[in-house]
Parts: sequence; structure tokens; C-alpha cells
Amino acid sequence: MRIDPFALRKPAALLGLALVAIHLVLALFSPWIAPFDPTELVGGRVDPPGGEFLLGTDALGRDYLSRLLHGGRMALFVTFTGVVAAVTAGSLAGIAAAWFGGTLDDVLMRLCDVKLALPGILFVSLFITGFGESFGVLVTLIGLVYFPGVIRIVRAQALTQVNLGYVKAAQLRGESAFSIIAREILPNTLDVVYVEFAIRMSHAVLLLSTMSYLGLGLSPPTPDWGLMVSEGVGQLAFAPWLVLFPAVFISTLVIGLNFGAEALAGALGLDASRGHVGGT
Amino acid sequence: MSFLEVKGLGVGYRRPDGRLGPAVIDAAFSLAEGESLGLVGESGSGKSTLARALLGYCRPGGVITSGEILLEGEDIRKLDGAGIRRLRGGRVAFVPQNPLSSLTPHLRVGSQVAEAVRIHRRCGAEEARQATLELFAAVNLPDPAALYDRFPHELSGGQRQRVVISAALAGEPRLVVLDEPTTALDKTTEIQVLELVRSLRDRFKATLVYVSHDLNVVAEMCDRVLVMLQGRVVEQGATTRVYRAPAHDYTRRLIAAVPRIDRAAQAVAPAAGGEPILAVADLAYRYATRRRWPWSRGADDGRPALAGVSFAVAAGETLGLVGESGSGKSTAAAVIAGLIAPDGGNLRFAGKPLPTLASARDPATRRRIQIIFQDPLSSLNPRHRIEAILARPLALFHGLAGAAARKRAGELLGQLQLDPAFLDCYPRQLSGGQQQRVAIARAFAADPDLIICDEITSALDVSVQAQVLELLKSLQRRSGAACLFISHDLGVIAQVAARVVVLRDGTVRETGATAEVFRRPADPYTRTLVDAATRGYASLPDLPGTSAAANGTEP
Amino acid sequence: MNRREMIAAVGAALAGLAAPEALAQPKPKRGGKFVYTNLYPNNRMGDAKNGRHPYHLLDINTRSAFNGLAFVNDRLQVEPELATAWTPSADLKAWDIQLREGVVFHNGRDMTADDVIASFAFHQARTSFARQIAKVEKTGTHKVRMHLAKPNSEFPFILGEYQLMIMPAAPLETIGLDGIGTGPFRIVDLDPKRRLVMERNERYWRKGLPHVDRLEVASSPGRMESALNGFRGGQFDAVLGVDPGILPELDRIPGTVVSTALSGDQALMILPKHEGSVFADKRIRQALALAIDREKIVRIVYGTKTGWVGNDSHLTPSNPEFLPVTFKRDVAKAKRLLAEAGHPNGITLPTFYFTASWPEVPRVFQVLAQSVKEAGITLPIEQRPSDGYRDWRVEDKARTRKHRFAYGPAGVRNPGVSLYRMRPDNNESGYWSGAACEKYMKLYDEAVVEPDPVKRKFLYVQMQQILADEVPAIHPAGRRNMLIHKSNVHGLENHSQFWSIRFDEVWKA
Repeated sequence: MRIDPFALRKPAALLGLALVAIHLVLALFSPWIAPFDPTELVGGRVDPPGGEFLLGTDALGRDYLSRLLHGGRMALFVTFTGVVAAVTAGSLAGIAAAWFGGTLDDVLMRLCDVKLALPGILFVSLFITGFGESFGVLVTLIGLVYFPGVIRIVRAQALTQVNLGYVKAAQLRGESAFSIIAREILPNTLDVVYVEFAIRMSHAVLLLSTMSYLGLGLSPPTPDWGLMVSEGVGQLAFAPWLVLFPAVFISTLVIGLNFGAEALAGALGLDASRGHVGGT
Repeated sequence: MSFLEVKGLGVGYRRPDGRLGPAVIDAAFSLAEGESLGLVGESGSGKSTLARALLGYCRPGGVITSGEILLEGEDIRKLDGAGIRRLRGGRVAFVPQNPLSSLTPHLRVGSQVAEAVRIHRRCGAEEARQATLELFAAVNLPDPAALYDRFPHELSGGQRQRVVISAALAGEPRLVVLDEPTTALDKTTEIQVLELVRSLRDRFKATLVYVSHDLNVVAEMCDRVLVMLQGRVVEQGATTRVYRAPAHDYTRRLIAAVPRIDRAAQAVAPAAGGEPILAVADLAYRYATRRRWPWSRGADDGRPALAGVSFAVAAGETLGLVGESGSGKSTAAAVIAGLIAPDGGNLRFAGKPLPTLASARDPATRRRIQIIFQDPLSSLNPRHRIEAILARPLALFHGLAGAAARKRAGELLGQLQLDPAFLDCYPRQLSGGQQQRVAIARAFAADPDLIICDEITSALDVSVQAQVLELLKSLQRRSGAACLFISHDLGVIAQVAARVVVLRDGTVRETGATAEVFRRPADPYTRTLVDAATRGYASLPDLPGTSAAANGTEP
Repeated sequence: MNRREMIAAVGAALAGLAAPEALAQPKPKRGGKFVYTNLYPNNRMGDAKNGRHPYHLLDINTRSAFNGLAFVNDRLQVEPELATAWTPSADLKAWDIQLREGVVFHNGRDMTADDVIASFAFHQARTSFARQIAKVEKTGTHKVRMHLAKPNSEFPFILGEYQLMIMPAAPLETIGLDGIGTGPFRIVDLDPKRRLVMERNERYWRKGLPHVDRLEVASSPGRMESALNGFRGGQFDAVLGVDPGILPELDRIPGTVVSTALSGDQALMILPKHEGSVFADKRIRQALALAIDREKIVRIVYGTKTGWVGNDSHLTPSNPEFLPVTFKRDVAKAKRLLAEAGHPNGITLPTFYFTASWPEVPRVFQVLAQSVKEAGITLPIEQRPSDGYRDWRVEDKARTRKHRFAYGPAGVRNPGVSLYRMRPDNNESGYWSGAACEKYMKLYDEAVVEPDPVKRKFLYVQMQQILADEVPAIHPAGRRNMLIHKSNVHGLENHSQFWSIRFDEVWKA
């Protein structure tokens, strides 16, 4: 990987990487940082911030700070697993589609069309209604949501290589399809794959929060930012911090991931704002 | 006072570490009104940068660091933004290399030129339209009124370049800077565009600065020439003087390296008699248009890429395959290599029928036929070190691995005059010529009997081209491999191939000994090609004096 | 006086009480517009199956445009409405119903027995509550006799159901389509799922009512925040079905009056008892019931004023027959029971599923799951989307009698309906069976043929005791329905059955 270190020194890039790093640290060490058990009912109903409970308590008297910290852990874990699955499977399928072409390509592309034509939230709600809200289902869902976009991007990237000399040369040497995909094409799509991963991560964090907010994501009592916003929105007028704090956590992570993705793309010489940002 | 005077001009590009890397160093020249100047040099010599600086412009990251650019006594570096805007497209116009990228794809070409006319002449829409039609007529565009409403993609490459030139003329410029305006065009089209530029120069009395890597073209177009090397001007003067009696060693080498068809062929001689290693007969191929639906039939539009092509390559011989783009020469290469299956005809290799696709051929046959591609960079996987690139065919065809493979790979590099230390480099760390030599080494790693060279030097500078061709020939001579050498450049063909096949529109127009065919072309098309190739020879030095220097590696 | 006459007499006595002037409050002001928004989900306010039928579109709002034969008040007593008296036959299978005379539909037509017969023909075809009626017979211009398939000592409650409204007679295909009823208001405009606009029925049979000229209903199911904003901004005079979670904060909206009903829906934990289910073991059911800190749930989720502790039956404090919980939380006993059942080190129960029918449902089960930890019970919980939740939880397509360990909502009804929900073939009982269940059903069978309410209450208490001991299901806690209105609103009474709130007597100062 050729990294241009100067692309990483822009203020936005530094801010993004710092935000992501802070969130990662908080998420990884939340069990040790968090002052209370996130599900234990330790305080009064909706205690305001300050005092024993730094960021107050929620409607059931649980420490809000602890829930926020554990919420990040959950959000990052679910989205990371789901996006890794989507990017891995999508990359292999995308390269295979580009290399084999023909019916495999047609079928995969039409499936992507179908998925991309289906409104994201509709797909999510159908899926959740059918399969529930457990961890495995959410990971699978995030995988499925981002899979088609990754296929398209990676396929496009792989297609530019199919006619390049080194691929033709490998073909003429009589290399197997697997060898060509793994040795020749895959290494040259990795830049795109990394950037895809970073961008999809930020999408996925937002999607997971949206889903939880709509009651389609993680289930109570799991601490989850989207869920916390949705639980707090009824009390918005009286206890605005119940919405404000999780919203700040969500947006800093998403902004961090976005800036980080852009910085990574810049460092790798790709254009994150043009070809590589897929919708949900 | 001269019309254009450049003094002590320096241009630098900002490098990733923030420092300025010099691209043009202390350039100075002057040009009288109506004169034409050729800027020559190899890629990276700074000639395009210097040309752009004449408009007060640099590519992103570039800065003019020093010097004066005096246009009729006025330093354009001292102009403000508005002054620069008035200058560009007004008194000074620019014609870039790639006409497609300088036209907006979704706007009609007429309106694009008319816009330039309106800006520079401050006139109304109707007047601008009339002026545009006149400009179109002036650049010899057929049926200007019809072309006016076309989109850029509906025009041929030559037509697009004419449109761009007409836009450059919209402001009635006094100085026209052309940056390799014909490099992307076919030889015969290039001639037409050059004719046009010359006639326009005479008609509009404009001063020309013409950037080219092609010394022939510059010889033909320019009164004066300026030779650049690594950002410095090494020699300048009247074209005929510089060409005939180059003062600087670099100029001398540059001129000597120009491949010429009137030079005595030093091609690898065909092996005496024997059965041809490769014989193709009645090859036919038509590119299928992509079917919209699985059940629909592809439209049979377009002419075939190959229509009954037959030729044979004798063992050890080099056969040249020459033609312009679209003549089917690269298709023929792909068919023989086994990348695509022909629609008709048959292939025989070493006396036996050759299965069409590489995957159907046995490993030994795959080993015996190797191909080298045009673009050296894309033919080497950027993610692999040179060692891995060379080791793969060694492992696959000869079972070599580990230290043995590395040793053999090092030897191959040595044969191509490359430092074995390159084994640990990635392709991007090598220059274009070095990359192409690695590609050649990879082909020879298989120990082939036939090498297909598909325009292997067209992306290289002339001096590098000469070196690569010599190395190829020496390796070929050593290994006894036959070669099918494909090129659009008759000079290159003349240098490597004893026999030549001229292709046009997928058919063979003429076959014969290279020297014979080029000296006395029987086919009118061949004659056109030869004329186009030899146009600038008049100003080049006579052959015997310099040919030895050009072929330093030759015995 | 025989028993039949006694029941009839009750009806007549209550009829006398129904006059609005009985409560001498400040003199009601006539006129004006009353706008309220409803946070309760109005399931039928226009869906694909019956979207065209105004009668169905109204769903829980039917009582403003229509009347039933009877009305059930917040203490769960039956009051006369379009019927003035009812008398059962000795076997409680035939009920003679005297209809109110002089009642006029919005279109000016008199209401007669024919309208009742036509309406019930429609209800029998469309609503489960009317299925027990085998036949409706006309016995006079204002008299009908209803024949039941089985005896039902509490049949008059059925006549008060909000779905069994009286519409002007018409063929089965068209009845009700015009939206005409006898109710206090007539429909002016209906935007399904959003808005309902009604105007005063000048010929309303309750003389002098309603007080307001115009009644507007905005449907905002579950959208607490927007409803509150509308209330604060003066768009709404009242909000029905307020989330009990915001009660502590309501004082901050000046001029807000909170009105709570005696009870409301409660959360039911269905304990599946098919083979292989941990809940087939009674000790585990008991341990769970004993481990739950019900007081804490009420305190945290409802804050004492708006909640009540459930007694593991479908009855609520509104029911006069309700038997308040007799047992205390006993963690030690729960642990002992678990140990006896072979779980000395605690037990991890299967995942419990629920959906947010009400905003506090997730809170109830989060607190519940926390509270049982003390007894060594790990209760994983998972929220499900509300769409299709019921079918999903029942999971009994193949009649396997399997059921998920899941939540179900339980509304407020008379004991004859509510206690019957624990019958063995109903999924809510987790397909309960065994000796205790048989005894329970025997008591129920006695109750349906027992005309004497006092004796019936005795039977119902016994049934609740069986439930408390046997724990076929757990009802940890329930809500007291909450509505808020502006302080200038008078005559708005809350109701445990939120569909039974009446607007006849509402007026604005």
C-alpha cells in the first residue's frame, strides 16, 4: 500500500483520526472506564447531569455515562463485524463477477439492482420483522445492506484490470482463475476495499443508530445510542440531555469515520467523494 | 525587440515534502513575430511545462519561480488575474494534446467554440455562430453547419483536434502554443492536422510554439528548435542547423535514435529454410457488440477487425506487422496469443494445429508462445516485486523456485542490462524503459520459440526505444526465438523486421522484404504510410554520419 | 324478587343515575371546539381489509358517533345506553332487551328494533364479541330478544363493547357505510389514520348534550413528543394515553390537569408449557413470580400514581372482583424453589420477547429482568417490531401448542371475559393443563351460569387464588390510563378501557 503521508496531515484528517481513536479507546476499555454497570438501576428517574452521575441517569435510573460508553462498544462491534463481512464477501463476489463475467456477472448485478432499488429502511424493517433483532441478525443485515454496493465498486475496480497486461499475461501462462483472482487482481483492489470499509463503517454506524431509533435495531436493555435517543425523545422538552449526549456520541463517531475515510482515500490516491461512496 | 522573449525562466513543482522540485531551469530564448519554435525533448524534460508557462500557467502544484516572459515587451508574470484572462485565448492560445478532454462532453461543439468567440470578440450569439462556422471552414472541417450541432463523442479524433484548434483561433491569437497536438492521432491524420497548422500559421501570421517528442514533426513545422534535457535548454537554433550539425551530444543522440525506414535494416535474419514456426491462414474476427439481453442477438454492425489475414513467421525470424490503429494488428496479436478465439481461419504452430484459446493449449505450447504488451506499466502487476513477476513463469514452466529462480531472474535482468538489485523493486520504482525490459525478461523467462511484440515501444521515448529494440534483438539472436513485431511506426519496423506485412482494415495489403516494401511500395496505402513517415527526413542529417552513434550496441 | 328480576332492577336503577345534571358542578358552557389527540394505536383507522368502512375507520373513536345498547363505566359496571333494561331467561341463554324510545339517528330516523337486528347481523359477521349471539329476535318495535349459543351471566358487558354499535338498518353489504349513528356527534370529515372532525348532534337523546359544537380527533399513535408539543402549543385541548414516564415532568407545563383511570392495560408474560419448556415445571414458574420486584417496577416505571401491581390474573383494580396480590416478593423462597427444581446455582431462562405496545413496556421488562437477577435468574430479553408481533409470538401454525416465552398485552374487561383468557386452549395461558387448570375451568363454568353477582365474585376470587399459586402466567404490573387536559376543560373523565372515554359532557370554560 502506497500511503501519501501528507494527505493524513490535513486538519480534517487529523480530526477524523483523533475522533475514531478516542471512540475506539472508549469502546475497548468501556468495561473499565464506565463507573457503573450499564443495566443496573442505580439512580433516580432522570437525574440531571452532574453529581454522582456525571451525565445523569435515564428513565429507569441507569447511569447515562456508563450506557453511552457501553453503547459505543456495541455499535462498533456490530457494525465492524457486519461491514467486515460485507466487504470481504462483496470483494470476492465483485472480483469473481468481473473475472468470470457472463451469467454470474449478470445474476450478481441484477441482484444488486434489486437490492439497491429497494428502499434501505424498507429492506431493514422487512428483514428485522422476519428474523428478529438479535446480534447475529443485525450483523447479517448490515452485511446484506452493504454487500451489493461493495460488489459494484470492487467489480468496477477489478474490471479495469481484467484487460491489463499482467492479467492477460497470467491468463496466457495458464494460471487458474483462483490464482489470477488472488494473486493478480485482489492485491490491486485492496486500496479501494480499505476505503470502502471505512466509508461503509460510517454508514453502518448511522444505519444501526437509525434502526435502533426506529425500534428495528438492538433490543433493550442493551445500551445503544440510537435506542437511547429514541427512549429520550419523549422527554426532550424536560431532559434534553437524554437525546443530546447519545446524539453527540453518534455524530462524533460518524464524522470521525467520514473524515478518516476521506483521509485514507486521499492517502491512497483515491477520490472518496466521487466513485467510492455508495448509498445504502 | 523580439515578439516573445523569455529570460531566466524557472518553474518548479511542489513535491509531497513541500519543497519545490525544479522542472524548468533558467530557460531563455527569443522568437520573432511569425516564427515557429519547436520544443523537443524526452518525457520529463520540462518541455510541456515551459510551453504552459508561456501562458502564465502551470499544472497543479507548479509555480513559476523566476525569470521574465516578455510578450511584445510586456512581462506576463506581472499581469493581474483579469489581464491573464484577457491574455489567454486572446493574444495567446493553447492547443492541448488530448482534444477529447478539452471539450465538454455534453455540450455541442459549435456552442463551445461560439462561446469562446463571444468572450473574445464581445459579440452577439448570431455573429458568434457565423464566426464559428467560418472558423470551422478555416480548419477544413467538412460541412461546418452540420458539425456545429454535434457532440464531441460524435466526432473523429482528427475532427475533434480541428475543433479545438478553431476554438484556439477564436480570439485571433498572435501566439499559439501547441502541446503535442498530434500525438494521439494516426500518422495519416497527423499529416492532415499538421498541414492545417502550417496553413493557418501562414494565413493568420501567428507565432507558433510547438511541443513534440517527434523530431520529424518538428523538422517539418518549425523554423527554430529548442532541445531540452532535464529542465535545461541544451541547444537551440535554426532547425536545419541543429538537425544537420547538432552541437550538443544529447541532441546528437536524440537525432540518431530516430528510427528511419531509409536506414539499412539490421533485422534478425530469418533462419534458412525450414518450416514456419507460425502460420496463420484466413484469420477472421469481428468484435461482438454486447448483447442487451441473453436471448437477443448482437447487432452485426461495424466492419470486421480481421478479414482473411494470412501470413507465416519462420523460425528465428522477425516479421513486422504494420498498420494504423484499427487495422487489426493488435487483434491478430490477441488471436495468436490465444486471448481471443478467431471467428474463422486456422493457426498452425511448429507444424501442428494450434488450439485457439490459451486455456486449450498444452503448457508446453503456452510456454513456447509469449507476448509483450504495449503499456509496460500495466503489464507488470504493481503489487508484485520484480522478482515475483519473473519467478512466476520460471516456476510454472521450468519448475524453478527459491534461490535458483532468483538466480535465473537476475541473469535475465543482466541480459537486459538491468541491475539485479531491481529484483527487490516494485514496477513503479522503474522508468518506462526499465519496465518494458522487465516485461521482455518475463517473456524470455519462459524460453519461448515465438515472441509477439505488440507495439512494445510506442510508449517510450526515442532514445529508450532504440535501446529496448537493440536489447530485444540481441536476446532474440541469443535464444533463436522468432518474433512477430507489431507497430504503427515504419521506422521501428524497418529497424527490427526483415519481412513486413502491411495491414489495413483487417486485410493484408502488402507483404515482402521490409527494405523492398518500404523503398518501392506496390500498394497505394503503403505508399501513403511511407510518405508520411519520411516527410521530415529532408531536414535530418544524412544517414551514414550518425547511424553508428545511434547503434552503439551493434557490432 | 327472583334473580332475573334483580338483574333487571339493577339496570333500571342505573338508568335513573345517568342524567348529567346529577353532579352540580359549575354550570357547563355550551359551544366551542374541543380537540384532542390520541396516542393509543388505532389499529383499524383504515387498513386494507376494512379501510372503506367508516364504522371501522373510527375504531376506538366509535362512541362519539354511535351508541351501544349498554355502556361500561370506569368501575366496570354496566349502564344502560340505547337499551334501558335487560332480563335473562332462567338458563341465561336468552336475553330480553328493552330499547330506549325516542332515539333519533343523525339522519332523523327513529331507532327501532329493526336497526338493532340489522346492526347485530353485521356484528355477528364481523366481530368476535358478537359470535356468541346465535340469533336476534324482534319482540316489539323497541324490544328484541337475543339468543346465545351458551349461557353467559355477564352478557350485558358484551352489549357495551365499542365494536357493537347501533347503525341504521341496511343490507349487510352497505350498513354503516354512511357513518350515521345515534351518538353525540356526527362525522363531518374523516381522514383515516390522521384526523376525524365531528359536529354536535342536535337531536342527541341525552338532552342538553353534548356541550361542545365541534369535536376533533388527531391520531398520533405512539408519538408522545409531537402530541405534547401540540398540547403545549395549544393545538390540542387534551392528550389521551400519555406515557406514564413523563408524569414527573408534566407539572412544568402550566395549566395541565392530569386525569388517571382506575386501571388500564397490563403486561402479560406468557409462560409456554409445552414439553421441553422450563416452564412446564411449576416450581420455576413460582420462583420467577416470587423473584420479580413488582413494587419496584411500579415505582420506577409508573411512579406509584399511574401504575398498579398485578396479581397474575387478567383482572385489574377496576374490577370489583380483583383480588390484590396476597404474596410478597420472596427471593429466598424463589432460590429454594429453583434449587428444588435442579437449579441450585441459578438459571438462565430462554430469551423473553416483547414489543412496545405502550412506551413503558420495554421499561417494565428491563426493570423486571434486573430484579430477578437477585434470585439467580438470568432473563435475557429482546424487543421485537410491533408489526406482525402477535402472529409471530403465537407461532402455532401447526397447532403444536408451542408458544414463545413472550409478552402479550392484556386489556381491561369483566371477569367473565378476562378470566376465560386463561383457558387451556388459549395461547395466553401457555396451553395450561393439569388438575389445577381443570378446577379453574370448573369454577369458570359455574360462574357463567351463576346469575348472582355476589356468588360469582366468590367463584372469581377462588379462580384468582388458583392462578396466584399455580402461576400459569405472570402479570407483573399494569398502567393506570393517563390523560392530560387544559385546566379550562371540564367534564372529561378518564376510563380504564380507553376506548370507552365519552365526550358528551366535555365543555370548555
